[in-house]
Amino acid sequence: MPAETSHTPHHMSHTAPVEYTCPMHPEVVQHKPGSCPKCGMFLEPREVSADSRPDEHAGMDHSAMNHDDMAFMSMIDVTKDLPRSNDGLPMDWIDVPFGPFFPGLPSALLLILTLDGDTVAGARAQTLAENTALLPDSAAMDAEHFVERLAKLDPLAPLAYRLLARRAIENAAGVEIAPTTARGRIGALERERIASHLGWLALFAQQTGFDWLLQRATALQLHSQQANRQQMLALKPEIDRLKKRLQRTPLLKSRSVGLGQLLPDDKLRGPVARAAGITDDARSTDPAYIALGFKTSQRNTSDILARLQVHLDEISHSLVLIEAAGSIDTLPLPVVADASGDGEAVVETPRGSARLQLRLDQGRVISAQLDTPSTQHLSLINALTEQQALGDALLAVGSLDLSPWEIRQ
Amino acid sequence: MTTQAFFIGFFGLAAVWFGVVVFRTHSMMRSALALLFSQTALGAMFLGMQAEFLGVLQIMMMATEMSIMAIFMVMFMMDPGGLGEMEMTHQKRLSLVAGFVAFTGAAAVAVLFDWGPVVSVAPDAAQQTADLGLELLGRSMLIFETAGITILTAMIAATAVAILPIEAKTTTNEY
Amino acid sequence: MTSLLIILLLLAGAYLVAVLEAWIANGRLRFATPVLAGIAMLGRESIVPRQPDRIFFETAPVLLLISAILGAMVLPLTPDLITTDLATGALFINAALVYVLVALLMAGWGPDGAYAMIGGWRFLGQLIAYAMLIVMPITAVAMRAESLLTTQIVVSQAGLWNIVYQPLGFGLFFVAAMALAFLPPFDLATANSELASGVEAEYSGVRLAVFRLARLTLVMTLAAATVVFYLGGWQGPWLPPWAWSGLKILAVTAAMLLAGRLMPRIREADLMAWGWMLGIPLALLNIFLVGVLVLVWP
Repeated sequence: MPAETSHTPHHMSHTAPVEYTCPMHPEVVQHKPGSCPKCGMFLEPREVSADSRPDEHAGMDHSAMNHDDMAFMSMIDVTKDLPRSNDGLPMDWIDVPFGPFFPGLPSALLLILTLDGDTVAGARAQTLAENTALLPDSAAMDAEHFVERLAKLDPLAPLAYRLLARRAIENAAGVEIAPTTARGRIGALERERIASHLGWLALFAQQTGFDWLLQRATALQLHSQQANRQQMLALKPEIDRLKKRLQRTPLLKSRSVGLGQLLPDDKLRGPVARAAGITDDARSTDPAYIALGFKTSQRNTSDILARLQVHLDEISHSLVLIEAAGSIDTLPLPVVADASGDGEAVVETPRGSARLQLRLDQGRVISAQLDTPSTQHLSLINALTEQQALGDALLAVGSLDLSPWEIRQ
Repeated sequence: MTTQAFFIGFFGLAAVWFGVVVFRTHSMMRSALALLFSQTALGAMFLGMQAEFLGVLQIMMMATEMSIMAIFMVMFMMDPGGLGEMEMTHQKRLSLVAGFVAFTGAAAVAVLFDWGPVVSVAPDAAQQTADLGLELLGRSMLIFETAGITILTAMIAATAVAILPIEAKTTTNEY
Repeated sequence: MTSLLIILLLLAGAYLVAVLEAWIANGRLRFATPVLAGIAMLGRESIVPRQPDRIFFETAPVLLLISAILGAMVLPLTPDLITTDLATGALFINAALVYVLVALLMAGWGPDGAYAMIGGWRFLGQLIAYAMLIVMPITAVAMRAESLLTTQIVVSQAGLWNIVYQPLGFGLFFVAAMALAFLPPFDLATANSELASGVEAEYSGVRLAVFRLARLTLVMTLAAATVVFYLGGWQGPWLPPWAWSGLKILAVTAAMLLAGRLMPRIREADLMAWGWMLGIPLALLNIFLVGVLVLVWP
């Protein structure tokens, strides 16, 4: 719908001999720009010709004039001022909200797409998750309380954030961790990664209406969330079967190759970055991980298929790591009696590396700064969706694996 | 016979009525679908006149054609929903004259032309279909083939004119 | 009388399809579920969205149902069990099923909602892709039967079913029929995760019940058409003709419902490209091959 344009100042109409007329209704003539009272189209400027009678009252009713104008209606005139997308077809653009509870997107994510037919002309995204567990910048709290709060930050990756808080506090307090504890933590973090990546697969399946995969991935995800080491290792044949099945699924390639491409950028984190050929992984510099034989998964095409492959590879590799780690830690609370100092930690959450800096004073956290992968990824949505077909755009947004809970706006 | 005449008359009136609706509504979508139902009523008239193949063909073809017209009308027109009560008519005098001339011409042909003796019983539908096929592949073949090739040429030419030049499109696929 | 019987059979068929659909989806064979779901749907409020195009909104589900039923009217279940054996039957079923498109456009435009509207227009694009793949394989079937009578088409397959005689045509028709019935992976118009159910999005209560019933009937009609055109219709040893028709229709329906679960939804651009660049040349090839076969081996 054309918006009402602002009125031209009155004196303008005396200096310029221009009148405004509707391309479709030549009988509508006005001194000022605006929209046609009959059809709402923008009025076109036109030079006043010698024989045309100047209109005394600049009102709306001109129906008595120019009724026999034989000017032919031209589609080019009608559409030449409409915004155009890459396909060159001018159409009305509409803003359509997707979310916060949309079947194919993470809950609490609001995506407003400007649609040009079935093509996305623009996108705005924001999270509606008002996370009360977000770090209060001023209020100091004791370390245990802080860890619990951060663990509640993101219900999609509670353990990774709990671990992040613990490691930052340990770092501030100068606590050394025993190698067995470090391995137990790796087991727990990798278990969460497997569950989270299976959730990524389930979202992918839901978005593409791939019911079989949705059922399998959801069942495996539920199974893996609370499984112990033996139960996790028992999943391996199932996951191998799933991978084999996906390799020969028809239409899967056409649905994902070359779509949702992102340029390598320092905003990319986690599996999204690794699918773009960036070896960004906090685990690759962690001695405990290196000792277990950690390898980064990597793809170079940076499309949805690459992200799918990275997720699948990481599920398998995480199983290997769990097997090598030997145990899955339950992550008890840290004991940091009265320590003080600055601490920093980076943990590779399932969505990418999250960084936490904090200051500890007498066993109390007095300030903290958190950097999360989804916050970085949110700003990629516009470039990712522009000029994509609606289905591809939504799938591309889904492939970023955003967690609305960890987004800090 | 009277039932047949009744149905022909009924669908004839329906066709005219839906034709009028095309211009009475403000909504592009209603306008396009009213034209569709006008054409469907024409198809039903063919059925009433025992021209089964023609009737079914008309009913089938028009649905797709008018739907495609509908999407173009919705795409290109301001206010396709008609909520702004857009005026749909223009060039009234020209269209009045053109409509009158066309109607008089058609009526004159219908009345004045010598249509030959009226066949009392129409051949059955299967026979008609077979006859139509033989006609299409016999005497009328040249006409239909010419028309077909012309339409195909027009379609290809229109597409060629409409698509963007190649160099303008490369920006989207660069990566 | 026959029409009434056919409509009752269609209803029973729609019920069986619903049972089958639920069985395939969640692995539980429950015979009461469709009935209970239907009753629940009838009991719910049928909401009319703000500023609808009331005529289209109300007409669409009914038109969809009528279109599916009219399509079934020319399909024989036994040599005698056919509502009207039109001399142009094989063409008429196309004419009836094109109005599926009109109904979906109406359902898309009617409720004044973005999801529904995009769904409706998407189906128009889908039709451009599949329409030729419905008509051209039927052409080849009619060529072999030398008739547009559907009963004659079944009789023509007495020696050899068309699925063997023209397997290419069968493959194309089967896929195109799934696209016509907007079954997954061709459910672009009703995609839940892309358009929040698209053209179905604004329907609820009794209107949604009619819409769903129409969809089930449409699946039945297309399965029956596949059986009549390619699987020898009522023909088969030992069992009576109606049983063969029923069994074959259920088998085809199950195959259609199952196929969509095993793959992701197709992209519109791919559907269009494959429909025209692959499907239509293959359909022309099929017509040519059948033409040669008809001439050399009458």
